[in-house]
Amino acid sequence: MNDRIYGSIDYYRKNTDDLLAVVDVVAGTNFTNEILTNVGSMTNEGLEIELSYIAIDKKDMDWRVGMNFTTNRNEVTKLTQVEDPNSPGILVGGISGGIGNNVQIHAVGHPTFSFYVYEQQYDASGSPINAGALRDRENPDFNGDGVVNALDRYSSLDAFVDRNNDGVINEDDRYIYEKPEPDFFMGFSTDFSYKRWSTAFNLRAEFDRYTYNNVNSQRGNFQSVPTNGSSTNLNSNFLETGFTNTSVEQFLSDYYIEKADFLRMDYFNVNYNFGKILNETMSLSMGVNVNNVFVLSDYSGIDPEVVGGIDNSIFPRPRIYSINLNVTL
Amino acid sequence: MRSLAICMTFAMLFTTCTKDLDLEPAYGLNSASVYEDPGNYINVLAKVYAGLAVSGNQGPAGSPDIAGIDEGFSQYTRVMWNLQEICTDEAVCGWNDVGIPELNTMEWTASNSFVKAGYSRIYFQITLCNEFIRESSDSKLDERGFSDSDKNRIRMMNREARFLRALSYWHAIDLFGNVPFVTEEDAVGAFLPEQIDRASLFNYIESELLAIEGGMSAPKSNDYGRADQGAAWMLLAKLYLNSQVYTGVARYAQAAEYAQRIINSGAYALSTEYRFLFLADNDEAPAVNEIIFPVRFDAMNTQTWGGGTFFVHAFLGNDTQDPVEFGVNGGWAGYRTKQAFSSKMDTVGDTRNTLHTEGHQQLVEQIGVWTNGFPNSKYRNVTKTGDLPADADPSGNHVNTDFPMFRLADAYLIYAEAAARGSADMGTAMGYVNDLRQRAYGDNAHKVSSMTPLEVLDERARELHWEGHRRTDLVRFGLFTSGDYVWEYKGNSPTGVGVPDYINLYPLSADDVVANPNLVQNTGY
Repeated sequence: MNDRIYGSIDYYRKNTDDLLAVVDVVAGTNFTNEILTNVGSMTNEGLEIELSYIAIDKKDMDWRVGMNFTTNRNEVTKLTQVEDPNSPGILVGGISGGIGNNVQIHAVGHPTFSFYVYEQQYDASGSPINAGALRDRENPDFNGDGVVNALDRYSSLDAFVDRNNDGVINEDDRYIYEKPEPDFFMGFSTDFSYKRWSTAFNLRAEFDRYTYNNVNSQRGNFQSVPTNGSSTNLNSNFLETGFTNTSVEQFLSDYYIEKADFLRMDYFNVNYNFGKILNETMSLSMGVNVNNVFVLSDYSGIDPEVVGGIDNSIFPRPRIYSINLNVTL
Repeated sequence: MRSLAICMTFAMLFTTCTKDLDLEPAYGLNSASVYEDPGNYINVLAKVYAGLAVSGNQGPAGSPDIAGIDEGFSQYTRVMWNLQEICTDEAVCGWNDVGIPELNTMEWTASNSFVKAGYSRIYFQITLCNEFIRESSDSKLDERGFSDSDKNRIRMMNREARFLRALSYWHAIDLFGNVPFVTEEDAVGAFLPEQIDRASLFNYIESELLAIEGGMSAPKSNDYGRADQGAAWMLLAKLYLNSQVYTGVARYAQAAEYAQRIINSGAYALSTEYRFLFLADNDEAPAVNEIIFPVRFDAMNTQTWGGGTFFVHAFLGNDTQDPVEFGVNGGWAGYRTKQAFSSKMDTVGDTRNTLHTEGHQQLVEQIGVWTNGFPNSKYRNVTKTGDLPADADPSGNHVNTDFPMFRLADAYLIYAEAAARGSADMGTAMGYVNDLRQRAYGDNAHKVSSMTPLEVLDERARELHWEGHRRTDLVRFGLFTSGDYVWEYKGNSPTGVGVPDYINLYPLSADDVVANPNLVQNTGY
């Protein structure tokens, strides 16, 4: 094949110990209640496949293709010095909305930064139920007792699954649901040239990754509009949910954990090389280039590719068109 | 791709360190050198007092004493106030901050962040007290060869630190019950404190207070804000008042005895007007005459997002109130009263009714809606004349309003409750109550001649509302969990339902139960 195909397959498993984590200090024994110490362990395991292929290699025509495929599975294996079957783990991932609310967790046996959420319940028409909202907006006095009061509204027990069946919705009802890091990555790049023309692009995809849509959870309800003497904009997610009320459980609902798989073209360019011009005193090439050409995704936010898995105040990624003129004297 | 993913995971989750960090401290101050100088003890004692007022070593935030919660939330009086008030009929908080909704509805768990913060804050304070008490012991003072006058001064401070420790243990016995027990005998370090049962802790707090009260400054003779005999007597009175709850044995007569010691000392007098007690100049007469033990706040020197700053801002909402009248730059629109409580207030003539009604409905139908329930305009950062204090914070954030933790009216009502329960003289008690009612109404037309215990409880609500007493009072009357008296969202029912009796105590912080195998969690949790 004249060295035109190159490929590699790697399997890896990496154990990491003595990771820094915050642990609790026994009350009454020191001048603080938490301390940072080396206790955590985790493993990363996966497969990496690379392939490159020179499809055409002729004097006037050249075409190269590269592909890669990677899997990665990350798991926390130890978090505390003393094993604690009752502790869910270490809460991380602060969100916008309320103070001190965290939507992620490091828990033994799960990937780092897993989402730790309440399980949303849905009504007969498939809409998420909103704790605190009227059960029936057409007929506010739902129970027909002559007054519209809290009894005519959905309770948190209506809106969320009481996973431990103790009759109340509280932090004991949260569960671990998905994680931000993808299980699979794929990449594809190619460049092609014919005589003086050349073109190149790449494609990149990530699968089985999830993002917490904090923009929707914070802004997609009517209650967030008037804010202590001023007003804010209502997010269009309101049109889907009709949420009038918000609550801690609502912020931390699994409804807002969205699958954020995507396929993105990072760049595409075309170049023409004029070669030597003006009596061979200079050389000239010209091209057009597009960055961030497109992204295909079912994710409802502005960009599925959010570092850390919490989508709240990301800087929108621009699409950049540029024209290049290259002159060499 | 592979290494990138791993590196990113590492960078976000953990950082590692090397042996380069194994250095000796390069600075000169350490605990030995500080305590060599008798002049430094007052500075250390100031940090112990500051434990009640500020949340860390940098104001208003930035170097917190305790972690795991927003720093402002963790401030001593703020977290205690929340644990005492928003679970009761008196208050509700509409914020969706971690831990708050479960306090409103009495659905907290052992990992609730306010439970953890309250618990950690108490033990941080006790550790500070223990350190000072250890370093100011007679043997240490002899060892350091101080003069007799220095020794006497430091011994007085030692008693104050023991008072402050007793105060924190009282919060612990009241909120958490059977708790870890550490004294100055336990040096700072890695050990596992034993758990003490509630009755034994009662005996310890009582014995500590009885041991120090004789040697403390006479009432009102210490620097304002520092503990004196009046503070110790008040804490004893409150301890005895709740003895039935803590030990199973009622001791109302002793509660009355210590309340009367305060009253008979002659050092205290009711403020001429009720509202003066909660203003920026409540460290001046006439308010100061009534205050037995305050937690002091200064807009420039003790900045915190808890304490007075919290009391003024959080109880105020820009939608329906004017922040200018409160001497601050704006409200945080959080806290209102529930109807069960606000309907106890006399709407005509009683100046203790500080509820703001305009633009609000009385019933808390939705916890998250500011206009559901009346806010309480009690705490303000203005002076008696309605002006900003002279040394106001130019940014409008921080306040000069002190928190009156113990005040004379409370001593009056402790005596009255003991009388109503048959353990003190009713005639004397009604004299005290009528003094309060005369001040409240400005006339003598509202006098009473006898009261039942439940009537005293209602009078306490009208007089001492939003001062951090309510949960303790309701527990003492058996009404905190009972279905006989309900309020909006008690037990997370919009109309209120009874909850199991184990709710009378908060759980020990789940994290500490894990970290310290000597601890047994409170029943029910």
